[in-house]
Amino acid sequence: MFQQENMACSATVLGILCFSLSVLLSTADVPPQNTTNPVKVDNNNIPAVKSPLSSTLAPNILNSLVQATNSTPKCVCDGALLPRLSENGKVLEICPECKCQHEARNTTLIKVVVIIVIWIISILVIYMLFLICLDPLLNKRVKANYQEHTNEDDEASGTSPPLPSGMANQEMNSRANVLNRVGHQTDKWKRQVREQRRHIYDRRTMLN
Amino acid sequence: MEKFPLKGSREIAAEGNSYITAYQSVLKKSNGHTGAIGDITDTQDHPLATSSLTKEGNGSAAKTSLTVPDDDDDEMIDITPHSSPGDAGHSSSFNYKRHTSADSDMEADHYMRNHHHVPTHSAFGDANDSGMAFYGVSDAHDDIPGIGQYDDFHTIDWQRDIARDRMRHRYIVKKRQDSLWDLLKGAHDAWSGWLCVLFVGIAAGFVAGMIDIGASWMSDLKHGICPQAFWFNREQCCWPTKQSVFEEGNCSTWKTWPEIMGMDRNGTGAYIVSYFWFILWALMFAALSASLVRMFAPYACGSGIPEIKTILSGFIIRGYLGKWTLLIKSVGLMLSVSAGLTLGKEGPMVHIASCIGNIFSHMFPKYGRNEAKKREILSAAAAAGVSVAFGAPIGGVLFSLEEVSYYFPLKTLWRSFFCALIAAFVLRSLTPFGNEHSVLFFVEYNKPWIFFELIPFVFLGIMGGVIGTIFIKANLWWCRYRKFSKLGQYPVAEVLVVTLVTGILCFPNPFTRMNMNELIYLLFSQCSPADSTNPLCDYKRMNITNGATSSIEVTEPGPGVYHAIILLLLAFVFKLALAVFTFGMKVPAGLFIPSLLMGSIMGRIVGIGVERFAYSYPNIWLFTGECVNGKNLITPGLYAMVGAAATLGGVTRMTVSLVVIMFELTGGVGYIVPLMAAAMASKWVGDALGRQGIYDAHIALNGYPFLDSKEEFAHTTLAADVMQPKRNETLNVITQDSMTVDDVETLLKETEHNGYPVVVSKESQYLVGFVLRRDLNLAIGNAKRLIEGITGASIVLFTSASAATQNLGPPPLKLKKILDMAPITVTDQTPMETVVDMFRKLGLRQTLVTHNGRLLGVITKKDVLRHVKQMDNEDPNTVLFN
Repeated sequence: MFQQENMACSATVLGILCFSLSVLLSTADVPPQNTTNPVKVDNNNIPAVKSPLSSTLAPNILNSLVQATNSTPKCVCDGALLPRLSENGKVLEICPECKCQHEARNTTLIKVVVIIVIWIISILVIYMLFLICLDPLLNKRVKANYQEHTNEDDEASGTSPPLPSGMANQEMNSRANVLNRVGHQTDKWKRQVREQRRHIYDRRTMLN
Repeated sequence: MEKFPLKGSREIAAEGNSYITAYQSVLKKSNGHTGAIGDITDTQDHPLATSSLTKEGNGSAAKTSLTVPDDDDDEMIDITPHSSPGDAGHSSSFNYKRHTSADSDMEADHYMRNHHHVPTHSAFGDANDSGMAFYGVSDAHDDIPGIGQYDDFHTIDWQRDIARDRMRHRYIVKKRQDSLWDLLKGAHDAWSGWLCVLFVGIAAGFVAGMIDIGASWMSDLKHGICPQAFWFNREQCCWPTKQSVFEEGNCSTWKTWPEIMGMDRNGTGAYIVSYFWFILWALMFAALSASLVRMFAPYACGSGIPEIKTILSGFIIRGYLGKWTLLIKSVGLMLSVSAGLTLGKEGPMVHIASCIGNIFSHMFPKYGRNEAKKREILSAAAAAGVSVAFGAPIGGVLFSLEEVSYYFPLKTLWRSFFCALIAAFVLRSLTPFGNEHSVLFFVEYNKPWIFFELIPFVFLGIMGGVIGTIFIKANLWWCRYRKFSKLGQYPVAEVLVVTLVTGILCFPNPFTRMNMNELIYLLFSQCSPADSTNPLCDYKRMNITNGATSSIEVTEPGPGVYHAIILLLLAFVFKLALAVFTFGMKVPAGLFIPSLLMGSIMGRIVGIGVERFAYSYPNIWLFTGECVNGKNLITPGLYAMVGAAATLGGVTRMTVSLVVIMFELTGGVGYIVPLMAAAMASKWVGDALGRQGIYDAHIALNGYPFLDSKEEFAHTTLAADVMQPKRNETLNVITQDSMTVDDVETLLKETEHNGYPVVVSKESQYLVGFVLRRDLNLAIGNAKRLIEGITGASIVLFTSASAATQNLGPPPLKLKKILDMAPITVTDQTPMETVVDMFRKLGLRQTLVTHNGRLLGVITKKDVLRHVKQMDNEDPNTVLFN
C-alpha cells in the first residue's frame, strides 16, 4: 500500500506527551496509579519532550524541580523502553513516572489534502459563478443563432444545408464533434439537475 | 434404465448449444398448431416446479413433450420437463444430485433425453429463437439495449433480476471450458464481487480521510489560522503541545483572527472581533454549501439514509448515487460541518460510500447492469460508510444489517465485513485524527462499574427514549411545515438564517463554541488530576495515601463543575432546538453527532449527580463494599457514553449496531452491559411514545415506496379488494398472438400501466406471462428500426413462431424474449397478509391475481403500499411513484 510507505518516509513527527504527576513526591519505587502502560517510542524520530503538565499543586515548583534533578524521573520518553540499571545493578522499571503517548501524523498528507480541497472548492465556485452569470448569456446567443438557422432551413424547405467540403472542414468537424459530445453531456447533466431541483425545491416531493 | 446423468448430460452438452441448464416449459397445443413457451423456472431452485411433471412419456421426438389431455375444452396444456444441454460442469453435479435423491419423476426426463438425444431447444421449433427463448438471458440484451433496466422512480423486480443473474452465471460457467480466455473471464466474474467491494472500501477510506482532514481544518478556520503553514488546524499547528480546547493562550504559532488584525489576544475588542469572524466564516461556509448543493447536485442534501434505505429496498432514484452527488456531498459536508451547524458527518458518509459503491459497480457489468445485484454492493458500501464515519467496522456491518439493508444474505454479510475492514484500514493508515485510533473519540476506561449503577443507566435509557421521541416529533413537524409552506421556497436563505442563529447562540458558550466532536470527547473523557483548564474537571484534588502508594485523586466536584453544568444545560437546550431545525435543511446533514452530543450532555450531568451522591454518602448500603475511602467511585464520562447511546437509540431505534458502534467508538468493551441496558430501555420507551424511528418517519413523510419488514399487516382484506382493476373497469391485457403492433402501441398510449399481462386470447383469459411497458416500448422501437418489414399491421407474437402466422401479411414481431413467463400469481381469495409478505420477502414488483385459473387483475407494489397506508388511516396518495 503506497500511502504507508509514504507515511514512513515522510516526516512523521513524534509527539510525546509526558505526564509526570508525582515528581514532587518522587520515590522511584512507588508507581502512581494512573501511569500504567507507558511508552511507545520510535527512536528514529526526534522526540518532543514536554515538561509535565501542571497539576494543581504548584506547577512552577514542579517544573523547576524537573529541571534540577535531571535524573530518571525526568519526563523524557526517548529511550525509555531501553532497559536501564540503577546504581546498584537493579533493573529499573520502565518509565515509572511518566505517561508517554505516541502520536503520529503525516504533515505532507494534510498539506496535500487541504490544498486539494481548496482547489476543488474554488473550481466548483468558479464553475458555479460561470453557470450563474455567463452561461445564460452564452446560451441565449447560441439559442438565437440556432433559431435563426432553423428558420433559414424552414425557408429553404427541403434543401439540405450546404455540406462542408475539404479536409480542413473535416478536421474542424471532428473537433466540433468532440465539443458537441461534451456539450451534449453537459446539457444532459443540466437537465438532470434541473429535474432534481424541480423534485426537491419546487414540488418538494423528496428529501424533505 | 440408463441412469448416468453425468454421462448423459455431458453427451448432450457436446451437441447442445443452449446454455440453459434446466427449465420447465409449457407447451400449449391449441387449434392444431403447437407453440412452446420457455420458462425461466429453474428446477434447481424450484424443486416443486418439477413435481408437476407427468410421467407417462409418449416418446414423441418431434415435440419432446409429454402430453396430458386437459379436461378443458378449448385447449390442452402440456407440461414438460426439460433439462437443456449445456453447462456440463454445473449441471452434471445437480443432475446427479437429483438422481441420487431418487426423484422418480426425473427419470422420464432423463429417459427421454438419453434415448432420443433431442436437443431441447428444438422443442421451440425455430432455431433462431432458441438462444433467446428465455426471458432475461444475457445474450438477448445485446440486441435490445436497455432491457432489464428501470426507469426513474420505479421499483425493481428482485425475482426477475436474480433470475437474470443466474442465467448469466450459468452461461459463464458453461463457457468456461471453451477456452483459457473464457476460463479467465469466469474467474474474473467469480471474484468481481470481492474486487468491487475492495475498491469501494479503499475509495471510501480515502474519501472519508479527506473529509475528516478538510473538515477539521476548515472548522478551525473560524477561529484563526496557522500563518507558517496554513493547511494546519489548531491542533496540528501547535504540535506537539497538546492544546486544551478551552484556552487559546499558550500556543504562539496559532494566530487567532484578532491577532492577525493586530489586536491583543484577549480583551473585549478581541472577543467581538472573534465573534464577528466566527459568524462570518460560518455564514460563508454554509452559504457555499447550500448553493453548491442547489447548483450542482440537489440530491446531495440531507442525511441520505432514508433514501438509501428506500433504494436498497428496491427503488430506483436515478442520479441519487451519481458522481456529482458524491463530489458535492463530500465538499458540502465538509463545509456544513465547518460552519458549526448542529449536524454530523456520519449519515452523509453512508450516502457517500453508497455513491462510491454505485460508481464502482458500473465497472463490473455483473453488478452495474443488474439492479438487484447492485444492491449487494450498496449494502457493503453502507457498512463501509459507517465503518469510516466512526472507525467502527463491525458496527458498520451491523448497521447495514439492522438499519439500512433490506435484502442481506450471508454473502453480503461477508462482503460487507470485508469492505468495512478495508475502509477502516485505509482510514487508519491516513490517521486523520492525529492519533493511533481511527475513531473520533477514543477514551480508555478501566474503572469498573457497580451493580447499583444499572439504575441510573436505565434512567438514562428512558430519558434517551424521551428525548429521541421529542426530537423526532419536533423535527417531523418542522419538516412537514417546510414541505407545505412557503418556507420551502427559500432553501439557501433558510440555511443562512439557521447558521446565523447557531453562530450567535453558540459562540458565547465555550462548550458550544468548540466542534461538536471535541465536546463529545470532552464529555466522554475522564478527569485526570492534571487537567486544570477544563471547567468540567474542577474537582478538589487530594493526595491519597493508601498503604505504600500515594497518588493525587480527583474527589469532590468544585464550583467550576456546577458552573459548567449550567452551561451544559444551556448547550443542551440550544443544541436540541437547533438540531430540530437543522436536520432536513438543504445541506448535507447527519444526526448521529447531534444526538450523541445531546445524550452525552445529559449523561454527564446525571453522572456528576450520581458521583456527588456517592461521594457524599459512601457508606450507604448501595455502595457497601464498593467504596474505598475518599476515592471516587463513579465515572461521569461513562454516564455520558451511556447517555449518548441512549439518545441515539431513541432517535434511530437501533439496538445491536448502536451498542457495537458505541463500544468500538470509545474502546470501552467493558461497558457493553450498561450500553445494552440503556439501548433497550431507550428503544422500549421510544417505541411506546412514537412508532417510528427518525428514518422511517422521514420515509413516511416523503412517501417513499418502502415496504417496512418490521411492521405487521394485521388486516383481513383479500387480494381481490386490492387488485386493479376495480369492479366495472376493464383489465388491459395483451394477447399472445392476435394483436398488431398498432394495437399494442395504442394500448401503450392510452394506458399508463407499467406492465401488461399477456393472455391467450381476450375471450379466454388464460395467463401466459407478463411484459413490462418499458421493455415493450424498447423492443417495438428497436424492431422498427432494425427489422425489415415490420409495420403497424405486423402481428405481435409472444409465442414462438408457428407455421400458421407466416403465410400472409407483414412478418410478425416476435417478442417472446421480453416476456416474463414466470409471473408470480395469487388467487383472488389470498389474504392480503400473505400478499404483503410475498412482496416483502420476495421483493416483488407486481403479482397477478387469478380466479378459477383465469386472469382477474394485477396487484402492484404501489397498490400494496397505498392499501397499507389506507388501512393505517393515512393518506394513500402520498406514495411517491412514477
